[in-house]
Amino acid sequence: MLRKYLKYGIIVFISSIFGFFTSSYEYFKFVSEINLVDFANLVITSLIGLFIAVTIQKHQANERIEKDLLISEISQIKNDLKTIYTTVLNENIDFSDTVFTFKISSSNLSNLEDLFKICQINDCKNNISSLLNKVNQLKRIVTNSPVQNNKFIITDDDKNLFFVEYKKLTELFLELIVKINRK
Amino acid sequence: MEKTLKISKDFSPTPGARYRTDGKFSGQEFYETVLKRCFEEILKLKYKLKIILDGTHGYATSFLDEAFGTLAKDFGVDVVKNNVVFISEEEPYLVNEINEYITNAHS
Repeated sequence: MLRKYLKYGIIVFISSIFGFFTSSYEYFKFVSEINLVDFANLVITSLIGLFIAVTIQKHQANERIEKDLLISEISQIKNDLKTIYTTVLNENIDFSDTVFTFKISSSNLSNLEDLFKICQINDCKNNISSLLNKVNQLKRIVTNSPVQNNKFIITDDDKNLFFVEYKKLTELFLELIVKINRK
Repeated sequence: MEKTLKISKDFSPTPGARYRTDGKFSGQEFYETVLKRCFEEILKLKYKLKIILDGTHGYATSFLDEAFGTLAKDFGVDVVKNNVVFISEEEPYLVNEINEYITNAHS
């Protein structure tokens, strides 16, 4: 709080010194008259400036909301897939849950393409295709394995392959989030 | 003319894994009890078979590979491709995935 007031104090102090020196400068002459044309000019220019500032701010706020929406959707899919990663890590891959999570994640990724279109972001199509391919690849590694007691039994080779591909998937997610954020 | 086969309704909303030994509603069971019979029927009638994939809990790769790969092995890749149409609104990428299993069954 004190720092904030100190900052304002410094600004007022510097402005006062600046004002004192500029008013003492011989080329500045203050006339106690108001020119109506100049005054109208000043008001209109200020209003135009204000209008531009408000419009830009509103536009930026809208863009931010859209970006946040896209990023939250992507994060949700990323988190859903993380649950599969955990089950593979713990070698406790429930058949129904895994198949359902892959379905929902892939379906949401496909829907994301439409959301990008609505937000008029057209250059992320390749990113989503890469993500869909990678999710499909992970799905094949896990759900092509044999099943015992309603659980997928995954080999060590497949498990290692899954981890390698999952890391690539995470990178693709982050790449897309950064791309959206920098727009 | 075409005959429609909706997996969630005509077989199960929770398709299983590859073989009967893996558990209930396997790809093998689907092929032997539903798909093969349906496909033979449409070939006789010179209909097309429309397979609707939506409405299930999701598909394991092993289920799709077993069911449609076996169909292609038994009847031929081209016969299957020319007579079956896959529909999926929920998971549009599944159509390409299944076509891949059908094509690979040939080699």
